[in-house]
Amino acid sequence: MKKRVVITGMGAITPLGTCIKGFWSAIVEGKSGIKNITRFHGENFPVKIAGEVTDFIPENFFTDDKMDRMDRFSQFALAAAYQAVSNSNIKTKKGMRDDIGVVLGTSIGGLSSLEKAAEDLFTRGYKFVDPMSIVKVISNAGACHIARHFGLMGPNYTISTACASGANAVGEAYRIIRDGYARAMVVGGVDAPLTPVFFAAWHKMRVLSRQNDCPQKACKPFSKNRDGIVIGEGAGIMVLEELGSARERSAPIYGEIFGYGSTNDAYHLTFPHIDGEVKAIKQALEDAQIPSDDVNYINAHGTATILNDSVETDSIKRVFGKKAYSIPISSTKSMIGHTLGASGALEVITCALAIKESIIPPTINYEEPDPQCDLDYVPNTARQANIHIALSNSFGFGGNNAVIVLKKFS
Amino acid sequence: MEEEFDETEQKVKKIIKKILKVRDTEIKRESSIADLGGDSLSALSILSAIEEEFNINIPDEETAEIDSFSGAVQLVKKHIKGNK
Repeated sequence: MKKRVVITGMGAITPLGTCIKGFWSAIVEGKSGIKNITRFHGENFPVKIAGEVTDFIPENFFTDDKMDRMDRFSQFALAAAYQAVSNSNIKTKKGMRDDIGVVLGTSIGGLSSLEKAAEDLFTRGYKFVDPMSIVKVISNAGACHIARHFGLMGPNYTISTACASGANAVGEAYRIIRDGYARAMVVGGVDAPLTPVFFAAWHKMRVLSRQNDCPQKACKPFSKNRDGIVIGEGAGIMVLEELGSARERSAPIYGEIFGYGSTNDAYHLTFPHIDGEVKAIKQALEDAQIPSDDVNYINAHGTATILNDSVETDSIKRVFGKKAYSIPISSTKSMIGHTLGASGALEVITCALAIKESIIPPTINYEEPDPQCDLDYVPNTARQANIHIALSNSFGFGGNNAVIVLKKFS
Repeated sequence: MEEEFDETEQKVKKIIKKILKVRDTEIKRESSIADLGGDSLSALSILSAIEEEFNINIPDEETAEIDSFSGAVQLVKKHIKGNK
């Protein structure tokens, strides 16, 4: 029999605070975490803004003697996992748990450590390359540090599906618990992409917003005057748990993961395609066995590129028909930027809290209606709403689509 | 008859030839990037190579003009002129 899967713990490292409470109150208030980049000097770069995490001190969350072997992305992941595990109060370590695993999504893993090694090699020479580079760089380092730190010996995967990584991680962990392969999973997404070579490469894609003069207003999903992505960094981690286990230990329950759809456009590395997105949404609804009419909130992928926002709008219209016009839709990225692998997980967390608190966080910086994007994007101000079913869309480069259905727990 | 290409055109042609892996003779003035087997990502590569070759900066809002050989050439000429 299929098991029910609930969220029993949450943690977040974001440009709007390094805890769930701070993150949630900031996005409900419609604040922006976009600012001038301080992590590196990109004087010649046309873009100087990002969703940087400026108040992160790893020691505030955990002590770990392996700290100097961790890239910033692993530190983010471990700090958010630490919050989620403490929040859920699930027992770890003692006797080492083989019924708890980890699935982590990341787009680029420890790329900043590779850049550092490359700089040392090219400017100083071979003997100056940090011997810890490999253990910092490998993409599965984050998931492995979480397992090691908490003694989680269950299934352990790292998923890399670009901007859909976090959502795919949640979906795959949900299936692992639903099908009885683990009792609980520490799951989520992370990325720390504010690193000069990677950032320069994003410039070359010409998809970044260039509104350096007003960083907080730069990211404008669904608004006609939107001019692209603002890159962000962070982590979103949850404890997903089989309902029986959660009830047995009277764990807090924040919501239920109720369905999952995952597809690929099989079309183009960067151009989104409506067919793949529509299939993923439909698959998620079928998996949840609910009619599309039951959906009362969609957390959009909403990156603020011209193309993403219009294609996503069309996909929603194709799935929901006329009902699409009455579903509130919002983009968390308007406030924290695009945190790549973390985004899908932070947006699932946003959905869970929206359901629990009956508040839909807004799409900020919505200034001009776009005929191509004519749905209800909850512009600029949060809204009270009784939500039973929420959908979280994530669509990544490579044509990867992941959609999560969440349900109010009852 | 072979088309006559000026110096700028020759340079742009060389770039497109290299990036799209096409033969010289396949590139005509009216050839679109799509005709030559390219897509939006190849256009980005062409753009970057052009900026390097001619030492110019092409703003984001003009990138769509690199949809054909002649579009790319016109863009280069406009910016070379602007630099002088």
